[in-house]
Amino acid sequence: MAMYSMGRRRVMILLVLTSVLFVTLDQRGSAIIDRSRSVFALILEPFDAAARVVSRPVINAWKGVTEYDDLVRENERLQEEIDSQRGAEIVARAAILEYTQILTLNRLLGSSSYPTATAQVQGDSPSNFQYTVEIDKGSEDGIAVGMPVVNGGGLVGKITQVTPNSSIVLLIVDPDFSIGAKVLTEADEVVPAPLFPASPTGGISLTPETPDTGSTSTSTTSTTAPATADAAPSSTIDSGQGPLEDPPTTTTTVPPAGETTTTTLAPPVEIIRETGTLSGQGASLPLVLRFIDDSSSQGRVKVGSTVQTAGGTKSIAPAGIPIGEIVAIRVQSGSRAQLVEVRSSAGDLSKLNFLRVILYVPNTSGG
Amino acid sequence: MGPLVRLFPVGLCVLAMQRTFVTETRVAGVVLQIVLALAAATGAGAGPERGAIGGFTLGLMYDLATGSPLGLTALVYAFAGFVAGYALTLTPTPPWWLSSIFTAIGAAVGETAVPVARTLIGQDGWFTSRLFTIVPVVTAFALVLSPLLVPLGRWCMCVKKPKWKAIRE
Repeated sequence: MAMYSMGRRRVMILLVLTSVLFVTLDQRGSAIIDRSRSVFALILEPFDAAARVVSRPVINAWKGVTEYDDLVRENERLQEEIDSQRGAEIVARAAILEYTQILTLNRLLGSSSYPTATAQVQGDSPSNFQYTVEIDKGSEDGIAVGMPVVNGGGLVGKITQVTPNSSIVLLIVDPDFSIGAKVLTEADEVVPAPLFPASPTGGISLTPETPDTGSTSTSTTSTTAPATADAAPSSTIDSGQGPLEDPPTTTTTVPPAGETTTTTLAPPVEIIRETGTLSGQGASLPLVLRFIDDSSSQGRVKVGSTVQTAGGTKSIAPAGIPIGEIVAIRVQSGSRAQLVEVRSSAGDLSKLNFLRVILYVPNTSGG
Repeated sequence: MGPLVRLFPVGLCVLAMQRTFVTETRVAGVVLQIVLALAAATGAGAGPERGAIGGFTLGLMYDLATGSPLGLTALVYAFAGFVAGYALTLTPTPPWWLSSIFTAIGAAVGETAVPVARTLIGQDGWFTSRLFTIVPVVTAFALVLSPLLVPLGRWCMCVKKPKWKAIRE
């Protein structure tokens, strides 16, 4: 029996041409194919449900065997993380309240201004070459292709396929995922401003203070202004040496009687905004951010800077959804362009459970 | 129409297993591919042409269910079925172990062809060192399941195992 007979060749050519035709139609967007997918999803639904019910005990047993140790370790790590974040959360909550108030005052829409639909993940991608999850909400819940999907940590992905009762979410780590992003970074630490002694009349003198060489004892009181009176606890930090992410600090040095009183305002925090395109590289690799203007970002973005969605009329997501933080900045050989690696704030995307779909309809679908 | 009438419901069941049970029971982080294994087994049991047609049908169902570009997985699975069908060109009645080996080869070729096909349509980024883990695991899975899947694939494609009869004068 010959491997390449005419009949075989004809069959293969026919199948290849049919595939090319289907791929072309699908890539260009075809209503017939979309309808076919919806119908097929409806046909497959009872089979899926039955398979889930039957296989649940087996899956649980398998996971019990293979993932128990990992779960114990993860539980311990998460407990430590929760403890360390408890304080930061209070400060962050106050900042969010302020941010919302500012948005309301200026009649601006934040990402939290859009309605959301909460969905549960009911399946991972069945392929090794596609990072998607299936959620249990679909077009009947107002979900449409292109809508952003978030969890408690930040952006998770976008909707790429919708059926009446389920949707497919393309995860942010998939190489096909791309979204406009902005980096919010604080300006480099400036040289601490010289201390200006207060004039006897109560005004602030513009003459730098002469270092006092005498053996005077001074007591320093530093107060971090809380965002709301009862939300944030006050803390003591060194004057002018605090981390940039701390709120503006007012430092008052109170010398003993007869000494001068100095008042120092910490340098204001300057927010630098850089915009670029963020895309995935696979589950085990960080996200990559490429700037629109390579030259502008030189030396301005820093490790630890926050990355958020950029928003805009053509973006699939509203502005301000957290994506992650910069973990590395590399310079590509032979190019001025920086390769910025971002760690997703959404956590481990292989263990997603509940997600929120932001019912935000982009002007141009990014599907 | 006979083979499609059988292959479609079997494909639905296998696809449902792929999307639920098989997807969640990963080995070394790799999603096992039972639909690909069935496509290759169909080829090993029914020959290259039928294997290609069976693989194409299963791949098309897979594309419709998972949202991957329609026709892409179909092409890859057709190729897997065609390659696995080479077993029948060596001998009309291959022993079970030879069918298993060709099923595994078909699955390996199919899984390797997925990133190639994706790259051809402009979806880069899948050629990573992880392929060296994915392909062996998927191949081993197909090898293990082939004694079950080859007869199933043969039945789906309405092929009966030839029986030799003695020639009487």
